[in-house]
Order: sequence, then structure tokens, then C-alpha cells
Amino acid sequence: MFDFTEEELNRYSRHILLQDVGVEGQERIREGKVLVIGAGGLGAPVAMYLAAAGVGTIGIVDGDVVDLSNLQRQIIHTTPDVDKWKVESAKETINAINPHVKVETYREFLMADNALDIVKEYDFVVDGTDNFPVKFLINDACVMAGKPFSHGGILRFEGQTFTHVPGTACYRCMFKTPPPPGAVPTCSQAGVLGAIAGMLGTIQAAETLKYLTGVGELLTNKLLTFNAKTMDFRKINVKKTDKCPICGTNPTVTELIDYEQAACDLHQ
Amino acid sequence: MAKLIVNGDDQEVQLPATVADLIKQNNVAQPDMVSVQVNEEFVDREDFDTLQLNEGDTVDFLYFMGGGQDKESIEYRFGRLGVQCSAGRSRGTKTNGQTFSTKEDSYV
Ligand SMILES: [Zn+2]
Repeated sequence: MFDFTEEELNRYSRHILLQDVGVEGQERIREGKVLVIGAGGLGAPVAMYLAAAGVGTIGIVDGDVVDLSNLQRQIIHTTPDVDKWKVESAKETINAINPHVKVETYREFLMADNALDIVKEYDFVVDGTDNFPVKFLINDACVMAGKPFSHGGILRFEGQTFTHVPGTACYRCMFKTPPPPGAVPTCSQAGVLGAIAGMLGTIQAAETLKYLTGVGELLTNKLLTFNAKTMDFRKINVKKTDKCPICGTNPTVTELIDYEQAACDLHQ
Repeated sequence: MAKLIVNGDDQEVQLPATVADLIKQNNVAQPDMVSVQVNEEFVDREDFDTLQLNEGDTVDFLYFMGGGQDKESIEYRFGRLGVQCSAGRSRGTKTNGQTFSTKEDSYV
């Protein structure tokens, strides 16, 4: 009933050996459709591990081109990829890792007018973006569409992540609205240790595979934070709140919003 | 002195103390942007000044963490939104043209 070829059985043998995964789990991974938003520091390790794991369809959203300064952490792109579209560069790497994966590329940025259309095609969404307007947009689109997603954020030596499935705490349960543009520094202003992106991205990839296979307990109603300087990891229990502007009892956010970015200070 | 658990660690605090007092004592970098849970319930920003803490309370500070925004994507988004760049912070806009203020909202 599972029509894996000899080559696939060999390729995925270390998954199949896992009692919790097995051939059935591998089949669920192969049937999985995962959307990775952002082919940057977080999206790179996520997409690469999901490709290696044999996720059947991987969608990648990014409207940017590869810059030399990306290569310090965005390991899905290599030096010859500079100036290529990130989605094209990412697709090439994914195909090289695992030609069985179907890659859908969206050479655009997620906005209020395209988010629901893109998100609705997928089983699970990974937030690999780097800015608050899109993080809130992903949250809102996924809550509205009833899609599970993994949230991730990194800065300097720290990272935080949680997983949302319908009915559990969302980003707005924790943070009602985005910070004012420019109020919270981003990596391009404050910097980030490249390997931190890998630490957080692989956690997000693991959550995705756990969701697809149904193995273990997801980071739902938990915010995992870590500081790589001390290697302190902490799980904070969080609850879905009735006062949440989108998933609460009287939602005030009823349509998707393109919040403004903090751009001006970067234009100098 | 009373013992509280702040971000997972024991902390001695002189009571009475409000959430706002604890934020000050912990030198929270951007107090207007921190989210606070007391005993695993989120506290409304407008209650920071009035909510009294009790012996044994568990308090968590949650911070925004974004990532590495690249300049190109910011410019792209601005282009699509039709937003003119001006110096300093500015107000947000919704796509339907209504002005949307992010400044005056609370960030709990
Ligand atoms: Zn919520």
C-alpha cells in the first residue's frame, strides 16, 4: 500500500527505522504540503531539512534576491547564487538535496492581498520571516484559514518559537499588535549570530515533521525561548486568551492588514 | 521581602509592588513593548500600574523578536504599499487607505 521505491526506502531508512515514524510516518511526510515563508536565515534550514526529510510539496515565498551579506546564515544559498532570486536559488538546492520534492515558488512577498490564497494550499506554514508586519500577517492569515503554523524569531544571540494549531494560543494572544516601526531592532540593525538561525530553524523543521507525522507534543501553548550565550532554554506556558484581537471572543481584527515597516532608518 | 518567580528564577521583591514596579526593578529595556504574564495569565497594559503582586507569583516577561529584515524587501513592500518614506517613525496604513495608528495601541 505504500509505494516507496527501493531508492526511497534507502533514502529515508533512518526515518523508517524510528518506531514513531516508520513507513506510515514517512508516507505522511511525503503527502505533506508545507509553505515556508521567507528563504532567509530561518527558511533556509527549514526548507533544507524538510526537503531531505522527503516532504512531498514545499512552497517557498520570497520576493528578494540573494545578497552577499545573506550567506553568513542563509545556507540554502551559495556564493554563485548572489543576485539570483532567492526562490530560484532555494529551489535548486532543494532539488539537489532531494529530487522527489515538488517545489512551488512564489517570487513575491506575502501581503494582505495574496496571503490567504497562498496559505490555503498548504497543510502547515512556517514563518521564516524577519519582520513584524509579516509575522502578524502570517498569524492572522493562518488563524483565519484554520492553518497550523510555526512561528520563529531571532535577534543577536536569542531565539523564540511556538507552534500554533487551531484552538491554541496565537501570536496576538501574546503580543496584541506589532511594535511601532523602528522600535524593535532587526538583525540588519542589531546583527545575529548565523548559527542561531540554524538552531531555531531546525526546531521549526522538527515541529513541522512532528505535526505531519503526529509524533510527540508540539510547542502549542508554549513559547520556547533560548539564549545562545548561556545556552539557557526555557518554555513559557502561554494561554489562548479571550481578549485576543483575532482569536478571542470579540475579535477586532477581521481582515488582513499590511502594517507599515520600519524602513526609513535603513535608507540612510 | 517576598519571593516571586520572574522569568523562571527566584527573585526577592519588596511588597507592595505592582507589575509596573517589577518592570522597573528588572530594568526591562522597552517597558512599553513587553508582554507580561502573572501566574500564566496575560495582564492588560492598562493594569500594569495597578495590579499588585503577591508572594509566590510567577511573572514572565515576553519580548518581541523579529529577525533580519533585508533592505530590499523593505523597499519592495513600501513600493507595493505606496508608502512614502519620511524621516523617523511614521504611521501605518491599511491597504484600504485608512490611516492606522500603531503608536497609540498597547502592546500586550
Ligand atoms: Zn490569539
